[in-house]
Amino acid sequence: MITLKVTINGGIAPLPIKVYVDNLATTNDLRFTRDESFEEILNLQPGKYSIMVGGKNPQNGNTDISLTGDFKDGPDPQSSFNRSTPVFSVLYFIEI
Amino acid sequence: MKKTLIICVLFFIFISLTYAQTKKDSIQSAITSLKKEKISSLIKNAENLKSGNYKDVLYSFFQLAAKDLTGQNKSFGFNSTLFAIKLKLDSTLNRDYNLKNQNFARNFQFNFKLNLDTAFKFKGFTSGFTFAIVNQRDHQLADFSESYLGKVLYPLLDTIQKQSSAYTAFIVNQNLSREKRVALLTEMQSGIDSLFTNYTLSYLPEAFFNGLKYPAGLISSLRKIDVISDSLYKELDKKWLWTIKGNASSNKTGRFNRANLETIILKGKKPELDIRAGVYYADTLVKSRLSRFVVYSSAGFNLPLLITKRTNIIEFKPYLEYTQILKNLLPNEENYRFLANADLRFRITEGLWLPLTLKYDLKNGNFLGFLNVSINLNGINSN
Repeated sequence: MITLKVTINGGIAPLPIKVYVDNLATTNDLRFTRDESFEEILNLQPGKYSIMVGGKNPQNGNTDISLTGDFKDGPDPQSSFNRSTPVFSVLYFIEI
Repeated sequence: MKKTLIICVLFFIFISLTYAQTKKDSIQSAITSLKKEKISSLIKNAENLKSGNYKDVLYSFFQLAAKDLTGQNKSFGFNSTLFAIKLKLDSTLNRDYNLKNQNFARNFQFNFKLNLDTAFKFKGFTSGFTFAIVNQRDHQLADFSESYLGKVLYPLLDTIQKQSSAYTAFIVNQNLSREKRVALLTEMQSGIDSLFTNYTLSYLPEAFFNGLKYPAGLISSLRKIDVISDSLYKELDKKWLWTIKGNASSNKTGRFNRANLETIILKGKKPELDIRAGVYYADTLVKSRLSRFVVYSSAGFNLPLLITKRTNIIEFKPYLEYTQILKNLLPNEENYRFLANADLRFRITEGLWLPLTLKYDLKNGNFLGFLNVSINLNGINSN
């Protein structure tokens, strides 16, 4: 079980944040969007995954993204990011 | 055209400064303390609430200002919002789910001001508030989910995700050491960050683009997002802003002798409709202390004359002003004034404006000129 936490600072997200969860060995992929900050528990089957979080920051705002939980490998390249560019995307590799 | 504009601006500055300096003493001795305070108040309002600076009033956290530097009524003031104070105590209020519930605190500004004489001796203090009853110009709460922006942003994110995921699988399938894998993923993430920061694909690994027919499309999509975003924020800046503000001043003994309640409505951008109305109370000394009530209103349009990098550099506002004294008219004083005014404001730096106000009394044909400077300190940048 892993937890994806996204926190938007300095305003609301002008557009919903989009999350992509791809199983690298199958086509059993997951997509969802969230209008505001969230903490989502992801119950994923064992396997290797890429997880991307992308969106648009509020003007002069920033977003914290972190991935925690029980991993067989990863999260790589790091477990947390802070992004303040108008548009952002961060990617994780994990194995469960 | 630009030369003509520059010459006109310089001429206006020269005339205003010269006039303000040479006529300062005679003007200021001729006008009553009530009128001086009212003009000072109007300058302050114009200073704070023009389109180029209206966001400073409601969103800048701290503002320290020196006013009326050429006049006899010098002052040093401190402005802040209630939200700034709360944010100092609890930084989590800056998070979206908290921030959107802080509308009152974010739209409520208060101020304290020390009034000084020419020798910088204490003459009293002023305190007050400004509250935005309607603020449709709030960039922090901008919601573009119904706009065209998503139709450009999400395909861009989809493409980046597709390439990122494929590149990640490519790395993982090579069974590299974790150290090497982390280095390659870090390189890819840095390349994506550079794309969003510098609009360049140069720092992305070559294999990232495998199967992508038109990599430059990533940059053109980003630029399109910028254009659409700018346009949407500009549309926000044209919406309604309605504020109410109150101020009260004391004399050097601490006795309140002036009070002011004013409402301001702004709408549009080029030009910006600017309507103000208020009521004013003041004690004035002639033979004995008189308590006087004045109502006033003004209406005009604010025009940006020079814009660079999406920021107003020079603004011009012609407007009409009507003032009526309701109580305790002085001998030989007219009970109303009707003025044709013009404000010219120059942005010196991000937080420094140089406003020049020219007032023409339509009834008596008198000109007045004033100069003041405001320095804005961008305060907290807390997460």
